[in-house]
Amino acid sequence: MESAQRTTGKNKFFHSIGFRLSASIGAVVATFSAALIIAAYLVFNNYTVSSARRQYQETANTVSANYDNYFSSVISVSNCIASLTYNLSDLTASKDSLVNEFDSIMAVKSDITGLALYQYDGKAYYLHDSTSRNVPTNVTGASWYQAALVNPTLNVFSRGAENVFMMSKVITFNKGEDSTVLLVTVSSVATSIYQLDLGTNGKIIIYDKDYHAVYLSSGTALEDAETTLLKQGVIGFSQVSFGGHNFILSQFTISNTTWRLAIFQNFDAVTQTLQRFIVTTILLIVGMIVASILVLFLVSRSVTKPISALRSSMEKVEEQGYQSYEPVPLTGSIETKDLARNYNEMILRIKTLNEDILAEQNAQRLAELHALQNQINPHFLYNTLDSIVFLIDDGQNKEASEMVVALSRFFRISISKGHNIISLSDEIEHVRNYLLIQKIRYKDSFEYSIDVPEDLLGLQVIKLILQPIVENAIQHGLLNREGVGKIAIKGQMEGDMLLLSVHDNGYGIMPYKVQDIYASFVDKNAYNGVGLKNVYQRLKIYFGDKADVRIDSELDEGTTVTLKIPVKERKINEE
Amino acid sequence: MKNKWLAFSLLPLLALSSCGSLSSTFDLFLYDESDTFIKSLKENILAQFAGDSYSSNLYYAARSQSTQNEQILSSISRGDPLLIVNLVDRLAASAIIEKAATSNRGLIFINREPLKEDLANQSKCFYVGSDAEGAGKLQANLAEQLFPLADLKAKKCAYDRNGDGVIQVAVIRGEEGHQDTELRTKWCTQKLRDDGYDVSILTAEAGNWTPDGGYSAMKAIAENYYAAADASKANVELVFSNNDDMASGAIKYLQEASILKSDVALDQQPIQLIGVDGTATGRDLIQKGLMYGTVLNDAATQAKDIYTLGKAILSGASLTNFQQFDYVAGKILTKSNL
Repeated sequence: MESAQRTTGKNKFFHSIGFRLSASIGAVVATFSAALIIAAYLVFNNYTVSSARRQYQETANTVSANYDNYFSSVISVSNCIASLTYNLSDLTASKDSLVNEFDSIMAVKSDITGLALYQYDGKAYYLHDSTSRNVPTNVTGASWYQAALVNPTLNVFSRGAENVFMMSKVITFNKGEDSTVLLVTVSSVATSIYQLDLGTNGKIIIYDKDYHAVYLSSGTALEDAETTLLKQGVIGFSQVSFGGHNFILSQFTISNTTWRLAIFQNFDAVTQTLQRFIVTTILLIVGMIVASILVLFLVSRSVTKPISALRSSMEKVEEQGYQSYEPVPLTGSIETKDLARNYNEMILRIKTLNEDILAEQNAQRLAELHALQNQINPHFLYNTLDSIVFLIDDGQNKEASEMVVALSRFFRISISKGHNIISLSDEIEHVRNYLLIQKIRYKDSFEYSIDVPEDLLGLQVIKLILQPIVENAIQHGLLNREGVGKIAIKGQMEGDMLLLSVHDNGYGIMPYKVQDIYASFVDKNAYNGVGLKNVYQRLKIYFGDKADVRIDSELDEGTTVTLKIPVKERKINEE
Repeated sequence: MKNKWLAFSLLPLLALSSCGSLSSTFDLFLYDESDTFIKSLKENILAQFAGDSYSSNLYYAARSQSTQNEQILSSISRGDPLLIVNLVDRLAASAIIEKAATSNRGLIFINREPLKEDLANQSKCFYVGSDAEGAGKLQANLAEQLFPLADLKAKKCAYDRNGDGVIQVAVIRGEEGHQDTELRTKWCTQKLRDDGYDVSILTAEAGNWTPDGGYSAMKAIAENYYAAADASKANVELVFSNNDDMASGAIKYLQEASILKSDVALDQQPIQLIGVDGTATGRDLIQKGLMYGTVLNDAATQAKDIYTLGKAILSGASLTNFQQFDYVAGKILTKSNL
């Protein structure tokens, strides 16, 4: 039974209040924190990251629009020249006016380093170059020339060396009847189109539809990883990781060209902010969980420590008995203090009760022994029987008969079927028989009276409380006295207290002797040899502290022993 | 209570089923809202599809290819299976095709023709548009009705105002770089020459498809090549406009300059105009005797072709019978056959 209820070791820990408290509230805190971190992440991501992303995309859109405008301006140069030549009937003849026009175009657009017109046989009508670069005079094999002829309605953009690019277009002259090929050479895709901080490793790439780089704002060639990213996106916006950095990759088509534009904008600042935010939040939450578990642990300890003390005290008491009990200290919360206080009181009460029971059992054993000794006192019996024989021999048959009857009654009540509690009338009857026997035996050397009102006779008292006192009165007070001794037994109520007194008119007791007797009542080891202590202790056991035995004695006048019995406070029921 | 829970549990299903209906959604991307021909083409297309239970989304790019790119991206990511695209920039087609191919979307380009090389090897990409070269030639045919070759050679043609046996022509060009601009401009005069006409192209002015562009182009033409006082001078006699919208702008200018009169018959007008598209505006001008004729850019037939093709794509039917480039021939429209 005990081993089934007791849990030990690891199990004990998991079933402890401390663990349960910490685990349950820890779980609540963890769940709440997880919800918090998710909510915070969502909010942060929604409002901060996505707004940052939008901002980056807007920037990219602006850059894209600027490139559109840039290339459109190159095309507008082509359109402008086309409308110039349309009405010219002879390009060679109009060279001077064209030179003026070309000069003014190149003055306005400093990026344009060369303008040239070629005949269909690849020969130059006209070359104009602001650089010392060698402008080709025969171009029939050039790819830009071929491409222009294949798509006469298109402005064909071609890659040149490094960041130089060329635009070629078939344009008409002589009212559309003749055609020429225009070549516009542009020194560089203006890096200064948009002064933009793209961040670490950020770059602008212009590439053709076969993913060959036309222009790189940094670096010399497209890396394979970059090409893969460009092919994944094609057009639109994406967030990519590349070379240990995060980027917003924005891809556009460039108007009126087959080229495309890619802008890598370093997004690390935002993603790092996000990561830092998440790390900070997680750290905070872990700290919160640890702190709350710590606090819970301390709180639960303050609850469980007094309880543990209580438990170990209980175990000690259980194993070693009440003797080992030491009061449990009152610590912790109000509840645990109350618990400890109540426990202490309870144990003290149990201890007292237990000691009472033990004492009562001892006293009863002594009383029974004493009674038994009295009952089977051979002298008492011999003397009584001798007295009876004497009476019979003397012919006093009536007295003999009375004495036999008294002896019989005396023993009957002494035994009283093993009951300890008897009615006051029985107790009186018992002492009356005793007095009767002793009176006959001592040849009427004393007289006695019993004065107990009728209405008290039904009260319940413990048996054999008067006889030892009467015996003392006869033995020590009356025998060897001159004259007739008197013994008066009285019963009366004083409030709830039943007073039974035995008065004798003997020698009396010396006052110091009275104190000795009183002292012996409470001294465990003392035994005064008279039945008084036995009676005193039994009264205390049965009727509590209010019960008492008083001795009033006056030398040569007599002694009164009074039993004070709070009859209504009987503490021990008849077993 | 039970019904309530049932309704709640059905919500996701409803959402799913509404997603499912997207499979019959097509998206129409138009380069600009104000273009009259595009407007009528759009109406024809929607009318064609109206009989079926397809839903559609309509986007206008306001002449910005990057705007159109974003619209197309959103459509592709939404999963719509068919995109009908009137490009802003025909050269953007390659990127759009590449993007659409990654998710197997059907693409029909309309009005603005992508490069042949961009559509090569694509099984779900098509073009439906007008036959621009044919339209130019039909414009020439209209001119031949006004200028019968024999009369012109004999210098008896009434519309040959200076009687020199040569047609003085000016051209109002559409948007630069648009294939229709180049081809219509080239073939309206080329065809006349091929047929034996003497043509003098006085000038070609850019009008960018719009009435306003046509207005300023006509102004430039008239200021340089028309003097009402001197009939013997080589004044402009015939204006080819690449579309009706520019022609309407041109006519507006000519009316304001009192060159075209509102109270005389067509043959009394000093300058004849021939447009392309056959829009309501153009027809109205013909009706009023302000424009001789136009070449119908056959929006109805194009819309019908787009519908047939689009339905095949949406229903997952075989596409092998469709030409990748569908050039719909134009039709001559004059007052006599309106």
